[in-house]
Amino acid sequence: MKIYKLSFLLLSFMAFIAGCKKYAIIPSLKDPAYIRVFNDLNNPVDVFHSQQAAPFLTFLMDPKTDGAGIPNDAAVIGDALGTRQLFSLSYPINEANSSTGDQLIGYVNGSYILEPPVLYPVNHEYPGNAPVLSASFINGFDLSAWAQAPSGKHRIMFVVRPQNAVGFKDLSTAQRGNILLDTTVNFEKGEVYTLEVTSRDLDNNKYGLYIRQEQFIHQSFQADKVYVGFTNLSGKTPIAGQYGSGFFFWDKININYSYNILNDAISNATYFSYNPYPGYDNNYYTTLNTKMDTDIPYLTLPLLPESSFFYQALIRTYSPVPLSNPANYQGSLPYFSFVLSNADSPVSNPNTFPVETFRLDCSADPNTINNYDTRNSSVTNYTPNLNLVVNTGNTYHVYGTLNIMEIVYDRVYLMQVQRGFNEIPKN
Amino acid sequence: MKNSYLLIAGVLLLGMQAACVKEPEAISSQATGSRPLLTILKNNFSYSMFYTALERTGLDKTLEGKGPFTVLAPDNDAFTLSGINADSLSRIDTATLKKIISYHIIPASISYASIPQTIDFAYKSLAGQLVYFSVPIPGPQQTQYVGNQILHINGVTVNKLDIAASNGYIMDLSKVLNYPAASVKAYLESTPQYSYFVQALKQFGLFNMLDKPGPFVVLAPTNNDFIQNGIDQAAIANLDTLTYKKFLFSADILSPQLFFLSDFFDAPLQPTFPAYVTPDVLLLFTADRYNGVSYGVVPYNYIAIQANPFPPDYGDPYLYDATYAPIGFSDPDHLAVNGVVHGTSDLPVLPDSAKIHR
Repeated sequence: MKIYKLSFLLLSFMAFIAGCKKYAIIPSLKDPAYIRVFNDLNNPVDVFHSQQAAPFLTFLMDPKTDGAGIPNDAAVIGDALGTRQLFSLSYPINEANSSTGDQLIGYVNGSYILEPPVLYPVNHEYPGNAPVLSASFINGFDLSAWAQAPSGKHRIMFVVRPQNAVGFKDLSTAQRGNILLDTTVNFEKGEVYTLEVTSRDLDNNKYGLYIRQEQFIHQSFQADKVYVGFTNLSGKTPIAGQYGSGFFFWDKININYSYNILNDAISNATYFSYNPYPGYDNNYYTTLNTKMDTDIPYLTLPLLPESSFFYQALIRTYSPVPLSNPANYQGSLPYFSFVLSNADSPVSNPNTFPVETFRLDCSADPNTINNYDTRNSSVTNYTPNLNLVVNTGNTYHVYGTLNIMEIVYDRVYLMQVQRGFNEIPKN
Repeated sequence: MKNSYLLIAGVLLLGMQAACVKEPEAISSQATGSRPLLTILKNNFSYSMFYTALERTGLDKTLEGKGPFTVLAPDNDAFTLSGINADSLSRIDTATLKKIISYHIIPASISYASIPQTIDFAYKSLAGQLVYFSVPIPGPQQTQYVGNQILHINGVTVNKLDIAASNGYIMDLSKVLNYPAASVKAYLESTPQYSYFVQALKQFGLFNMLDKPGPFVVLAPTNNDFIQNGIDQAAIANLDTLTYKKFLFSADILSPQLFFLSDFFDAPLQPTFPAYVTPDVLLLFTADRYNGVSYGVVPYNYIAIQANPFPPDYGDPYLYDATYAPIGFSDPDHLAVNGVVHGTSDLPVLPDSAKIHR
């Protein structure tokens, strides 16, 4: 009996020591800066453009290189960095979710289909769901989508990597050697930085790193307002934009805005009508004359009383994007819309080719918008509603948001920064 | 009772070990096979012609070395497909054969997984000339199943990948690779079926640049294509360069470009812009798995033409060739040091359609 007890204890002990290594607690950083990294590249590489960078990268901070200068490790590795999603929040929305098997909905041959899944892991941003120390509330914003990084100078590198499930360090030397960007940046302590890999000139394979030191942590914002800023991060329009059927934003962009309220009196299940909120009917906002601006002025928009978001005590609905049925139905929630147009060609007819106007309806459901394929649906004409509906205290409340709209070639990425979850809004 | 203690402990041990997160398998460029390259080639009858060539050129001695090497080995079927039989193989002079066979050997260990995910990634062969590897790039237009390991070398499909030896890998080729010509100019000049085309290029001042670094892709109509359209050498000599738009022949030369026809499947064109831009016209390409690759010369406003089913063009943007339809390739993928020549099956632009009307 004794020997069996002993062997049981021995085996249990062996099992204990053979058990998995636990995650070490990440040591906290002194005087950190905060970084978030996006891959804005979206160009599929084709036979005539094989020198272009396929939009699938590895982000390396402070890389270690071999004798030939090829990176093989780094202090921070943000691997499998795919093209960013249309909508991103200030906290990681894909946290704890599977990052594999991205399966999009596309509109193909007249019906909506579930497209084939992507069979390798894709991260749409760094840190995303990586287990890192993140920023906390700064200036009332939840910034946990930004990772802590030691302040000071850092070498930043981006490598174009194969679209598969092999980790960066296990790639072959030839694969790790496809360096897209190699630069040095300085992060100041306590500052918030958004880093984006952008294309400067697709036809000539020129790329650059766009770094924005976020000013919103230093600015003051009113709780009962919605803020929207635009910046154009497109590179030179590729030649395909001149002769092809693809759409590209223009070099100079006029922006007009409206606030649309459903006319409950005359709308029914098959007919919908929206009235402009008084004073917000196709107003001119600004013209973006330059690209890669890091200073973002904000348009201030009203946050309506909470009652405007309910109908007969029920919360109103989002647009069934992009399945608009009946046509042009944008949901029953109040929503903002923007019309972007070519500032160099102000007389425009939206039905002619080339297209000179682009309508952006901020009416979609934030929960589903990233499920749609940007190529095979009209989803690029939408962003989520800028009035954020959140369940707090078992009741829906509507919060104002800070929104940065980043125009990149054929689409507008929305980065929504949220405020004031710790208190019930006063609207 | 005693047994159950043991059982519980054993299961516990197994369970905890199995629960561990496994490290992903590293891409090793080190070959893992047990037999040397030469033994595999020698003992496998389907490589008998390649092995004979290795022996005759003395390259078998090289492959006996430590390496590592990657051998791009055409099997006997591949020789047959390339029009080479045992007899004609024996008649190739040894120096030429050595050049060709050493072009099939890369002094590095290349496994499929270690190849960058792009088209025409260049490796240097033992002969010194570059060999181009293409693997499919995943994307919305990719129609090949990327889960299948697909590799094209100089446009030639690889039948079997990663045959591991102790001193390298063998990639089994479906055709023999052509040794690259000195330049696309030299290739065109030395190939009789392009003599009309060469004459036309010379006349329009486009020929001499073809020995520059490029790289160039030349879409070359054969003599037969000229004859079928009623154009003989005298007619070419009579073409007055001032009377014809430049693109009559300049649209046949794409630079800087380097691609093989299989690249249209490994890196498909986007439906929003399936064209190549030249200074005067677009070259509109279509590639499908059943009909292969074809192309036609179209004006810049081809989208507007396609959208208009009425006269004068009835929605057909192929305004310049005899059939008003895309043309195919009869003899593609001839590599030179500074580019690739693809023989076409018709004239893409008839002289009459490119005439300047005053």
